[in-house]
Amino acid sequence: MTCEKIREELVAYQDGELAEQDQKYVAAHLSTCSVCTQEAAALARVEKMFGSLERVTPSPNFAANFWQRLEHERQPQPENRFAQWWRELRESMTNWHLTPALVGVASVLIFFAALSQRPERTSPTPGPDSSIMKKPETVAKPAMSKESTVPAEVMEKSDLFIDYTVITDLDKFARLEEIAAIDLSTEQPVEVAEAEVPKEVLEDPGFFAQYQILQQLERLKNFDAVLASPSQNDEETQG
Amino acid sequence: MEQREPIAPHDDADVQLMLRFQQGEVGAFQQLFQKYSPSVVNFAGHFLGNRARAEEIAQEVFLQVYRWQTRYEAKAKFSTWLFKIAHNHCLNEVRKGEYRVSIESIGPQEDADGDERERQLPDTRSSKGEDVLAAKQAARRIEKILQRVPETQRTALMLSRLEGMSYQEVAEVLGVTEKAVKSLVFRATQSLKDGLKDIVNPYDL
Repeated sequence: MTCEKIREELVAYQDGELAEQDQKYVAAHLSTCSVCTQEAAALARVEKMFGSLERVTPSPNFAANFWQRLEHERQPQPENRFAQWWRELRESMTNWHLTPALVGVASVLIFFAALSQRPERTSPTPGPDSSIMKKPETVAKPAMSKESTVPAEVMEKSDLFIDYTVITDLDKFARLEEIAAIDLSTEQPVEVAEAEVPKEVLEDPGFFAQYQILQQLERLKNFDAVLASPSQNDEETQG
Repeated sequence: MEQREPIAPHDDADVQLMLRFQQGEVGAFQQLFQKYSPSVVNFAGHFLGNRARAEEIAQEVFLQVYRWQTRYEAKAKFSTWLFKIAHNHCLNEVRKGEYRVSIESIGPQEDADGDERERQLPDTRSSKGEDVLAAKQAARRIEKILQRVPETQRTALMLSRLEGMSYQEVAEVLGVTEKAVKSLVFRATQSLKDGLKDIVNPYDL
């Protein structure tokens, strides 16, 4: 090892940070080399001066300031303007004074949501491999009758077809006044076989108007089961 | 250079204090603050050359330790973890560049001719009073030189000399190898020796 390399190791040597064999090697070199020994002495003086540097001590109120600062940090921070506005809004939402207004707003929202989610009355034309082809013909019949009332242009463009049903519904709304003007007294009363209507319903006429609707709903409830069951036509084709 | 086994953190009593603080024992944190805050102020004071800023930095370091209460993981000796935080805060402070280093704030007061008179220090002292004065002037020069040394060298030298850390511990603080620390300490010492050559090698002038 040259003197230059030895000098690079002198600080670590004096710190006792060299490996044992390197410590011995440098010590042996220093015992024979006066120049490196002089360099080691100069470094030792620097170390001694640096080691005698006065410590920077904390001021008397340092600790008290720290604990005060820590205490301040542990306290909840003041709200900014947005947080304050949001909190007040949330609190007012839970205020009972606003309940009627909120119920009104919710009702309007539910009404429009129900309108926008009305089920589509038509289905796209199924492909040859579609399982819909296996559905009973009796179920498909209403759709066929609907098609006859739809213009040919609409049938050609299936994406327009969906909107067409909506438009026809809207058309009904446009004729509301005309419908309201019909004198129901001239209409033939709806004949319902007494045997089909339960006795309780006949005794309470208030239920009578809804009875047919309830019957329809009962059928709709079994709609999936009706679709799944084999129709008479299917049995005939298979037979 | 011989590589040593890393220090087992759980054998460190201060790590145990930090873990007790993690369990909610605030008294353990107070013990750590009392034990280490003077060292952190000393380190930051010599690093920045400004006592007031050093105290602020030390407070921020311990606030960060406090905030780490729930997330702390014992991966190293507490002192190396703490001085890593302190070193990073000091680096951020230097890079902000919002203040000028004022050596006067931590050392003895000097007049405008101080530097010139320091260079004319006699090698042999006639009295104890002169020795004390010379030592103070030398200390002031060391502080000035220290501010010119690159930050990583400065931290390596200060932790090694002022805090008595081994090269291995300094390496953990700086996230470098022990070999790198040996080089950093050597170069920092060389800078000091060159800056103080009229004192350490008076016959070479």
